[in-house]
Amino acid sequence: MRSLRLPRELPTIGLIAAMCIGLAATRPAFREPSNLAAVGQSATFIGVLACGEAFIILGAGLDLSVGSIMAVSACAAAAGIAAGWNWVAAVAAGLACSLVAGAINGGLITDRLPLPLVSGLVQRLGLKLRSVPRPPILTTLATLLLFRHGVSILTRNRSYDEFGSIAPGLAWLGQPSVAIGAFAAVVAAFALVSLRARFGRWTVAMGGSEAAARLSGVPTDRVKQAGYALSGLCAGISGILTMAFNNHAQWDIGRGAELDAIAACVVGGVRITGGDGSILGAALGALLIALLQNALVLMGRPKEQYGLITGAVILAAAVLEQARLHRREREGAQT
Amino acid sequence: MTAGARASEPQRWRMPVETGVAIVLAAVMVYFSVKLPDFRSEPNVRLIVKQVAELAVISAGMTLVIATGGIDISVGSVMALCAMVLGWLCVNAHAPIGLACLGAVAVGALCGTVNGVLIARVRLPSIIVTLAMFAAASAAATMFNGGNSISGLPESFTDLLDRRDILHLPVLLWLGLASLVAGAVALKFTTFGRELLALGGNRTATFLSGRPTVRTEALVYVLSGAAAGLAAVINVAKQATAAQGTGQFMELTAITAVVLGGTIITGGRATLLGTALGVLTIGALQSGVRLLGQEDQLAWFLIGAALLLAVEAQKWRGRTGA
Repeated sequence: MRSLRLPRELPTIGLIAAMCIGLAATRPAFREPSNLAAVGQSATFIGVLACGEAFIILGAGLDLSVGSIMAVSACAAAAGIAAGWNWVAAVAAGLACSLVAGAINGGLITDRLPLPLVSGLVQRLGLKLRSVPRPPILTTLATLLLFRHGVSILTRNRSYDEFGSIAPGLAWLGQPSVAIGAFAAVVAAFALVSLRARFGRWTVAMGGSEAAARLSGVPTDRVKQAGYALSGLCAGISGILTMAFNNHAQWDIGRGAELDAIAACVVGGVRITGGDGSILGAALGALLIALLQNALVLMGRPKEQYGLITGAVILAAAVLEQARLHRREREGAQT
Repeated sequence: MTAGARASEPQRWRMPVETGVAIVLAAVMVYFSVKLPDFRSEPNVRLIVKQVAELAVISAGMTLVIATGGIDISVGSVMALCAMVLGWLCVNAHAPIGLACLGAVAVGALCGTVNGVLIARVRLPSIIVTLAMFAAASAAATMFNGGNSISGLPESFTDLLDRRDILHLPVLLWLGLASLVAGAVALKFTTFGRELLALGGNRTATFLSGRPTVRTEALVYVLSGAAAGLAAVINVAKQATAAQGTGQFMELTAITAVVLGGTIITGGRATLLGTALGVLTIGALQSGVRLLGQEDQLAWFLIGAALLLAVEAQKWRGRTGA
């Protein structure tokens, strides 16, 4: 007998709805359009990152470098604007840089980008290397350091601001409606890819079991490579939007954002070991985290304390996931 | 790896896993010593070992965690929480400083216990549990003293830890060294250590051999939490203030030091000697870059590059089998 499967996003949606109703009823300030816009905007900054991160986690990877890639794209775009480029060209250059940064991650992880100096030399010496994939968590930890501090070295810690006078177009990008629109577009695109496109299905299959996916003819290396590039692009978009909103960019933009993105995925029901979850869930997770932050601000508590609640929500999501896994195991045992 | 395979094959000498990091550390030391006479001066060497003390303590705990195949990303913010608890107990609650230090370590161990129970008993993924603890502990740290840093700790405390020597070596060096040696002894010579390595190698096999997997795994996180508490004590003593931003990005730095040292991220094998060398490499790079008159960011860039090399080096080790 087929039991009814509730959608994985249901608890997240329920919590979001409960919070919205509760806040709207007790805090009139919550209903102000400006407040709602602020919630949407902070959900965007985390959520766009989380979409890319969710894609990676669905494929059983992990990308710790997304916060640093935000700095790559924001500083590249800001440097372009400071050099007198058209803002559209500068933003495009920033996004291209983030795509390249993501591709570097993917290349390192899949070993398609050999460290030519080192491994090549060792191989030339006639030593056979064991083909172990580089663990994503370590590779992206290394690129987290390399990207972030590379940006800081290249820009000489320069702080870019006052875009208003040079690039009025950027102010348009900083508007809440544009940011939320971009968020919706990214979510829609990623959700569609993960649910409908072959590439998306391959990613999920790879997250379930990489060996099984490879044996069924999935080009796992290519899928991974593309996934990390896309995650980089998402981080780039988030970096540009953050820069436009703050009217400011420096090498430390988006520091620690990688943990927010992972938290949004977990809260949204994406299984951390891959293979199950949805892009929509990650986006909702980001919205929930933004709502929690907003609720604390409205209650007059320091924003920093939202971590206590976020921590609890992350744990609850993990326990729920555990229960789901157990249930599946039991069902599997019966059949 | 099995005894049979080893017996049939002639014993081949194998490079110790610490070789890579030892070479990197030696290269860094030689380069800076030749280039900067200040680098090898005694005050600077003392400064380096004092600066890396808290990283050494945290990395010792992190090595054990990674040896079980887990990860603890909460250490940085647990350290912040412990620092605030220490400051609050000592200054706001007028507790004697020794008691306040004990309190800080106890809070760290408590956070570790929560992590450990959830990971080992409830079997939640370590990255998620410690991510939740990361969020919660850094939030809790802001609740002391209205989120402001706490100063006014007794002069004698700073004096004892930061300026005093034992056998002509700084107290902080002894603390860092003691943590690393304790970790190494536990790993090599105790049942607990052998069990945690077995756990990292193959959990099911360890469980089926009748070893207490839950207790061992939970204890590892308790130790890591207590290490974060001790690191907080060191940090507060050095700064003479307790700030809620203490230990930021410490988790990433500690993981970097451990992996740089040659411990394998999937667990089952670990080396505290390697971790010690990894910690020293980070300290030497930071100090050298600063003496060159460059920004700290250059040091971090180089550490990232070294980490990438360390990941690469795990491939070469595979060529002899294992």
